[in-house]
Amino acid sequence: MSNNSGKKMKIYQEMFTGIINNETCNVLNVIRKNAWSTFSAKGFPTSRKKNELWKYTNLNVIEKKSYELDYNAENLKINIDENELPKDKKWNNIIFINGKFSSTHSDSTFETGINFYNISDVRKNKKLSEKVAKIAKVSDHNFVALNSALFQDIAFIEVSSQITQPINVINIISNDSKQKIILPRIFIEVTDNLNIELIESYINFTNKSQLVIPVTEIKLNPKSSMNHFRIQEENENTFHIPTTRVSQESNSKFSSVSFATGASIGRNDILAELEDEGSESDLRGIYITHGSQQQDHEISTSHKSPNCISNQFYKGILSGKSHAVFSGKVIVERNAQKSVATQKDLNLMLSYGAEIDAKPSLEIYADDVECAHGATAGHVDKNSLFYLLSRGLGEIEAKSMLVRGFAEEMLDEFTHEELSNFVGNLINKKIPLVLAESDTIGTT
Amino acid sequence: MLKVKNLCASVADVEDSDILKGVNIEVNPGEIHAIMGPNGSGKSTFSNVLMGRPDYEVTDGEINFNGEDIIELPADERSHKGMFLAFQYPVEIPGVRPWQFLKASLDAKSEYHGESKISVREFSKLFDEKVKSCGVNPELIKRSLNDGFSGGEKKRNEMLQLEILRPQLAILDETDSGLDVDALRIVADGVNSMRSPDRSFVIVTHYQRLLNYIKPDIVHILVDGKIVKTGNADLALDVEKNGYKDFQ
Ligand SMILES: Nc1ncnc2c1ncn2[C@@H]1O[C@H](COP(=O)(O)OP(=O)(O)O)[C@@H](O)[C@H]1O
Ligand SMILES: [Mg+2]
Repeated sequence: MSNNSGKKMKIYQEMFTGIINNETCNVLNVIRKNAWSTFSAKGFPTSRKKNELWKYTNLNVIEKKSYELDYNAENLKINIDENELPKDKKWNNIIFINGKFSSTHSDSTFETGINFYNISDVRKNKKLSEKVAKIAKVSDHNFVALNSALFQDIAFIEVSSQITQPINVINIISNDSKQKIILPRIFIEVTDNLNIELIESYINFTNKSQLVIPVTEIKLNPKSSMNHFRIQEENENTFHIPTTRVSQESNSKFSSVSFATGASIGRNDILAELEDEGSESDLRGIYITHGSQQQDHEISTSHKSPNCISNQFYKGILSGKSHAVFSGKVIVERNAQKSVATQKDLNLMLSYGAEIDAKPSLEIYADDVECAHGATAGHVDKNSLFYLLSRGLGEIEAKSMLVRGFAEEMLDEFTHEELSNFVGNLINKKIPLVLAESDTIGTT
Repeated sequence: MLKVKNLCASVADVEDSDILKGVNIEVNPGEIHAIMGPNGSGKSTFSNVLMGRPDYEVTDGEINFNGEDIIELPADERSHKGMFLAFQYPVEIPGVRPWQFLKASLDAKSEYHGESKISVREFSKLFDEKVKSCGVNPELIKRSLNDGFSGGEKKRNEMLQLEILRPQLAILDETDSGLDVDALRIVADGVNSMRSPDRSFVIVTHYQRLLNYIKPDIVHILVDGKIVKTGNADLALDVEKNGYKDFQ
């Protein structure tokens, strides 16, 4: 640890002291202490020291900045334009502001079948608190550890009977002048046979740098399924480093699509564990970067039982001097016979200065499996551009249409009109920025 | 309508790459011209140069459309002025929806001419009607532009665009190749129904087959970047019988 990071560690140590002194729940107390000892030993990951996982990503910039933890301001009430949120009155809207549950902004009741608890409920109920930090393990992950040590609230959700509308967890980052560390936390468990939808979004209203470290734990019981939609719209000074852990029982199905356009450095870390037979995991997403943004996808699927199917499919649009990493991993354990796994990362390189490190990889220890993987990086070619121009579209409109076209199949995955419109608008806002820094279109 | 004089063109930025070596052609309103020629004679190059493809450089000659020299105009402006090219190899563009794309085309044209845009409802009606008459698979056309289309489906989609954009001058670059007889009929019916005293067609083809269904007023034979013979519809029959060897 360098001198500088030693000093920084002191700031986090103070945060931890503040949190642990007020932790009334024994179970959480133990979790936090464990987590803190892991984080204080590891610190932030470095790209030095032959750290394969962080080879392409340098977090020194985070350590150079100071972030503050906001201890009070529970149930913050702020002025928000509802139109700027991915939200529908019909949905079960659960709003967090700066990592803390806001009953003021959330719906007052939810559909029958949704049991929602925030941290004060969890503290009082051992059955709940004992489920925390089981799926996302603190032992080997710096950021799961940091979140587990410091998280201030939680969306703890049990779905116990069939619901009809999505559960919509919106994480708002308020517009103030503070550089905040924000530690959103979700735990959700779905009872056998139920099919649910979870929307998880991060909407940032400030332009100040924030350090956002979410942890999401998902438990799918036998024959249950979840469609998961994730939207990350942080400002471009913010560090957004989420960890998602999914534990899937037999014949369960997890489909996730993520949309990541924001953040200075974003790193979407997902691990889906196919614990039992017949389960399916389908992980998709799109990332759009420009300027000096970096967006990583650290995506792992672990086949631990026979007859499971998995898919990883990501797409990137890169411009300026931005950098993206796709590190997709599929692990097929020895007994996971008849596994089917596919993995794909396709990138549209809009500028010669942008950089992609795409590393799809398969680790297969079983012999009877069907696996395929691939990654590409290409340009908008001149034939496509001329085709559109010849039909009367102006150059900018034609280029916009081609870039948006590349993203369209991921947009289609946002199957609610409200959501696809929301994401579509974010893309439309981003397109002029990426085009302004583009120099490859039509050159090949 | 279209006057091409001594048109010479080469591949842009490549020396000694002359493809068109002095093409002359004059198309009057209402006429259908056929351009025939062996493979590699420059037919697609000619079509693309007319439409303003930047891969080619016009090294000499004139292209005059409705009295205006258009050589410096970009493709989108040529389109606004009433030119259209049905491509020999239409590109596949996944994610671009033909409905949105064609609406945007029409809107761009209206905007260029300071006219009001077609309403969504009106456009939808037009689109559905043409999808039907061009024999385009309505499910396929919802999704994307040519992506996953067969060769024939792509050509039908070119005809769909032609019929929706209704240009003054339509250049069809081997729209007939790869089509079965039914599809050929659709192309021919499309052209024949759009035929009018103020609309002209340049139909580029390798075979005479399409000309059984569309009767050209004038036939040109293009060989090695030059028009070596011009005649009436009978010239196409000669080619059918004797091939291009007499002209090479
Ligand atoms: N963009 C290009 N770059 C290099 N060569 C080209 C290009 N376009 C056409 N050519 C060459 O010009 C000649 C004429 O091609 P083309 O116009 O496609 O002929 P046709 O359509 O009559 O078969 C061919 O020899 C072809 O290889
Ligand atoms: Mg050709």
